[in-house]
Amino acid sequence: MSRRRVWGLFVALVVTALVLITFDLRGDDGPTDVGREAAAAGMAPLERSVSRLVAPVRRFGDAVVDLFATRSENQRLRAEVDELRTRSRAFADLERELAELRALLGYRDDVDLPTTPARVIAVTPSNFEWTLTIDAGERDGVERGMAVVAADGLVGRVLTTTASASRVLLVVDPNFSVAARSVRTSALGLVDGRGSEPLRFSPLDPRVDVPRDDAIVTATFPGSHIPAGIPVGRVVAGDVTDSRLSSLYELLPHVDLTRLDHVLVVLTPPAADVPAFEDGDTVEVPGTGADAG
Amino acid sequence: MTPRDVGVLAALVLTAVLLQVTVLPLVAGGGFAPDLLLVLVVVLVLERGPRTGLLVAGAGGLLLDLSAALVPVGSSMLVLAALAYLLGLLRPYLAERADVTTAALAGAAAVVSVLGHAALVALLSTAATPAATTVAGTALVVGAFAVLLAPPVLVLVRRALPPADPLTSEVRA
Repeated sequence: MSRRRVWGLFVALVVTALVLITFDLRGDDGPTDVGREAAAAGMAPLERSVSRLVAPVRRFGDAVVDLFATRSENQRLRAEVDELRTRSRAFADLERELAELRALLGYRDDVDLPTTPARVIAVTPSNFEWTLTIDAGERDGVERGMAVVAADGLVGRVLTTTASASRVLLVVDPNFSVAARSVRTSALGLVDGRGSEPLRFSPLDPRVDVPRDDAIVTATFPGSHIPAGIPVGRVVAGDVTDSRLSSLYELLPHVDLTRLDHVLVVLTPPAADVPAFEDGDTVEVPGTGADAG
Repeated sequence: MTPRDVGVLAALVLTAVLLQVTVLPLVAGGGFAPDLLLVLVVVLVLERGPRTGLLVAGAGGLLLDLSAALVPVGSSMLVLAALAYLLGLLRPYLAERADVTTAALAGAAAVVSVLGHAALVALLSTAATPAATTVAGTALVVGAFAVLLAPPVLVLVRRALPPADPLTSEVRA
C-alpha cells in the first residue's frame, strides 16, 4: 500500500465529510435528513433489543449502588411519609373542593393529560448534544414538539419522529428552550438548557425577585404542544447578572436525566393558534349585519 | 482485504456504534458518552494500517453522525478520518506490538477528538459555545474511558481478524 493511496483515501473522506456538513447546515429536509430518518428507522429495532438485553444488568448495577444508601434513605422516607400523610388528608378535601369549583366555573379540565408510555432505547452518541431515542413514534400518536415527561417532571420535547421511534431533545441541551412560570411569583419567562451546566430561567420582567427553591413549571402559548404546569426544575441560585435590564436564575431539573428508563409522551394537541392580524383582513363586527366580502 | 475481513469489519463497526448509543453512556454515568468507535479506529490503524482505519472511520463516523439528531452529519467522520490519518503517519515510528502504546494513543486520540468536536460545535452550531472547563472535563473522562476500552478492543480485533498477510498488506517499518 503506497502512501499516496492512503493520502487519496483521506482526502476523499475529508471532502465527503465537508460536503455532508454543508448540506446538513443548509436547511431542513436535505439528503442528510433523509439519511438520519433511514438510520433511525433501521437502528431502532437493534437498539431496542440491545437495551432490552442489558436492562437486567443495568438494574443490578443500580441495585448495588442503591444498597449502600438504603438505610439512611429508609429513615428519611419514613419521616417524609408521615409528613405527607398528614398533608394529604387536607389535600383530598381541597382537591374535591377544587373539582367542584372548576365544574361550577366550567373550567377546561387539564389535569388528566393523554399520554403514551415509552422506553429509552438509545442515548446521544455525542458529548455536545443532549438527546435520547424512545421507542414510541407516529404509530402511537407522537408528533414533533410534544412534551416528554418522567414521574418527576419535564424531560424534553420531541425533535423528530419515525413510525416506531422518536428522538427527544433533553431540557439541558443548549438548543432547548421552553416558556415557563415561577410558581411563587407567577412570573412568566423562558427556561434555556446549557449543556452540562444548570438550566437558566429568565423572567420577562427583570424586576421580579424569584426566591431560591422556587419551582419552575411550564407555561403554554398558542401553537405550543407543551401543556402548562409540568414541573421543570428548582431554582438553586439567585440572579446571576449584574444588569438591571435582564435577570437570570439558575435551576436544576427535577428529573435525573442520566438514569432515565421509562418516560411518558404527552399527547396534547397544540394550543389553538390565533392567526395574526394582517392589513387587508376584514374585521367582522357582530350585530351590524354587514359582512364584508 | 478479503470479503471475510470486510464482513468482520462491518460487524465490528455496527457493534461499536450500537454499544456507544445504548450501553456505554449508562456505564459511564454523568452524561458522558465514551467513544468506542474512536478506540476501534485507533486499534485498527495501529494493527492493520491506515487504509483499514480510514475506511472504518468513514463508514462508522457516518453511521454515528446519522444516529445523532443535532450534530452536523459528517463531523464525526471528519474528526475520525483526521485522527486515523495522523496515527497512520505516526505508525512507522512506533515500537513493534507495544499494547501500552496503543492504549495511551487511544486516550490521547480521544482527548483530541473531544477538542475537535468542541471546535466544530463552536464553529458550526447556532447553540452557545461549550465552556472551556466543560470541554476539558469531558476530554479527560472520555480519554480515560478510551484507555480502559483499548485492551479489550485490541484482543477482539486480533481474534476476529487473522494476522495481516505480509505480501498484500503494508509491512511495518
